[in-house]
Amino acid sequence: MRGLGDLEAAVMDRLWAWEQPATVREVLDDLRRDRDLAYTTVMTVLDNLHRKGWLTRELDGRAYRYRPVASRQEYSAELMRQALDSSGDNTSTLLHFVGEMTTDEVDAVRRALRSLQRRARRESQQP
Amino acid sequence: MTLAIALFGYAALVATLAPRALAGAWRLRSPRLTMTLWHASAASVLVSLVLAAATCVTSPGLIQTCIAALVGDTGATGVLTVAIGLLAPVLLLARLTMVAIAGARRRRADRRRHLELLSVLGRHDSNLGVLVVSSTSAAAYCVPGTDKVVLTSGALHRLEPAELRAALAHERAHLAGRHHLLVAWAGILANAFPGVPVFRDLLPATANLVELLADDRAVRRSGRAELVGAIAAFTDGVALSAGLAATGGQVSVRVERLLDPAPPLPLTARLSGAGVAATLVALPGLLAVLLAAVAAGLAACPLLLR
Repeated sequence: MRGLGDLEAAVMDRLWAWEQPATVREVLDDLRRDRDLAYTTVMTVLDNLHRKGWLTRELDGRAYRYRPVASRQEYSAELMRQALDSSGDNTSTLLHFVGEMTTDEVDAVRRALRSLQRRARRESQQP
Repeated sequence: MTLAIALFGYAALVATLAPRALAGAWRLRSPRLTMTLWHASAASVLVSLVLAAATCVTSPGLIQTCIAALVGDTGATGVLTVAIGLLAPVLLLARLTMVAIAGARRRRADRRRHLELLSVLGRHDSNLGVLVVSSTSAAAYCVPGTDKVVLTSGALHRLEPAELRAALAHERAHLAGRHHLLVAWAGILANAFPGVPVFRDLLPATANLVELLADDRAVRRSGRAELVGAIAAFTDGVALSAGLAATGGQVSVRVERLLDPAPPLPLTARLSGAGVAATLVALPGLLAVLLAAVAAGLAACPLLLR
């Protein structure tokens, strides 16, 4: 069984793709094509996303219509800003495999790799 | 009073000498021992400062004389002395606590927001056990406090399978070793007292040493050449810093160390290093007890002679 987190992603994907506000019923009908879901589950997910600030909603007749607050690109940009910031105060928030490098360091690392490859070639050529 | 001066002097000595003593090339040979010595030095300075201040309360001699000279020898002198002696350690610990709380709050908020973004934008790759976010930039990182390792699609695209295993082993070593706690503690001391060399330098030293520790584990898990290849694969996709290498950086030091591995320090060196670390932690307390015992003995003498 998939968690609510996965559903949140699926719902956001659809709303971003549609580019127009949608009701719980419309989202549910679309999601039901690949999985069996209850109306209340989808309603909860949309409500959560609204509470977290991902969606805005307007009353249309008797149902809410939900719309993303920002585009996928804007959220991606925010995510990547956090993901790529390995400087100063952010060191212990996320731990990176390779932090920021100066251009000098990039050159040094590439030189080192070339020397490693040369060494490996020499070793493989020796009988 | 001798005790307070001795403790202050000891703290000043360790605070200035430790960063120099721990900068030698041998630090690359035993990152774990170097880490232990750094944190033992910092703890030693912290404890001696608190003890020194507290000693002012128990034997106010010199401070009392100073205050008496300033405000005149009135009834208030004793009160002022005790107040200063009490206030210093309280202020020290209060400053630490405030910085710690502010840092923890900020990190928790940042991580929560980051996890929220990941939950919607990340795609879980169950084969690799990682979250993949789509971006042309290369980044691989873990989110401390969770078991999440995140890769950008750009990083995934650049890495050969063996290199990918090395990069993931590095990140999982960070999580398994709870490296973020060491970095966070070093950050508290560095932000609280940036004027004290041993505290200021503890943060970059810790950030660099956890990378070496994670590298060593990744080498054992997957191989040296694979890890170097993985680091090199990132060189055309990482964020370039304009100024000096960022804390946690020193990527070229890591690569050089991987290419030319020096043998680990001999057992005797490591044992004596551990001995130094234990001494550093225990010394302020011992010093305090010893001098207090001597002082008490001297004070008791007149009573005994009478």
